[in-house]
Amino acid sequence: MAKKIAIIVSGDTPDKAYPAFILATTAAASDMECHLYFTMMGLNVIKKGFADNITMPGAPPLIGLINRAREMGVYMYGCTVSMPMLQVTEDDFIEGVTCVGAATYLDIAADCDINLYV
Amino acid sequence: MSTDKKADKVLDCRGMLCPEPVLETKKNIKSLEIGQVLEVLADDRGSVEDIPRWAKRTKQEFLGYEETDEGHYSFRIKRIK
Repeated sequence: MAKKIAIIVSGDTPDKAYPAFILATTAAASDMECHLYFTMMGLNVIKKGFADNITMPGAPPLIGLINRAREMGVYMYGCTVSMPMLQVTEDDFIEGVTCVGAATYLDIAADCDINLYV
Repeated sequence: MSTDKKADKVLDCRGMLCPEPVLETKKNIKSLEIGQVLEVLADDRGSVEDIPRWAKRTKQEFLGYEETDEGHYSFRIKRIK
């Protein structure tokens, strides 16, 4: 049975977004099922256009990693509790994001081999 | 060990940054038949540890690697599943 990993992404700065997507894409390439749960300021990362110009020396452009994650079947969730705080709606997110609450995250995380918070 | 058999496909990942060599290797190994060998060229330092571990994790056969005179790495992976 495939290993599973869940990562909570709680911020929108490169030090949060990069590890999340580097690990997510590599997990998918390693035959692991990967779930990314975006909460609080982390929701910004999956807003349309937000990541388009984010780069870091020595790493691929962030948007390239996000697109790869989607192609590779990484699951992405937006935290419904945080959405009103950031004044965003489901329509603001990139394609492939499902809006769910804490119980769904916990249900997924309870079955994961690796659980991370960034 | 890396000259045992000519690779069936060569994947050039030189200039790519972590984690791209692993992602490209995953993508490309599927285009080989079972039993064929993929040669991956990379110059990302992390690849030396990453590619063998990735192969083991995904149950492909890592045949070995060498550092070339040009200063990059050449990995050989046999598709076995």
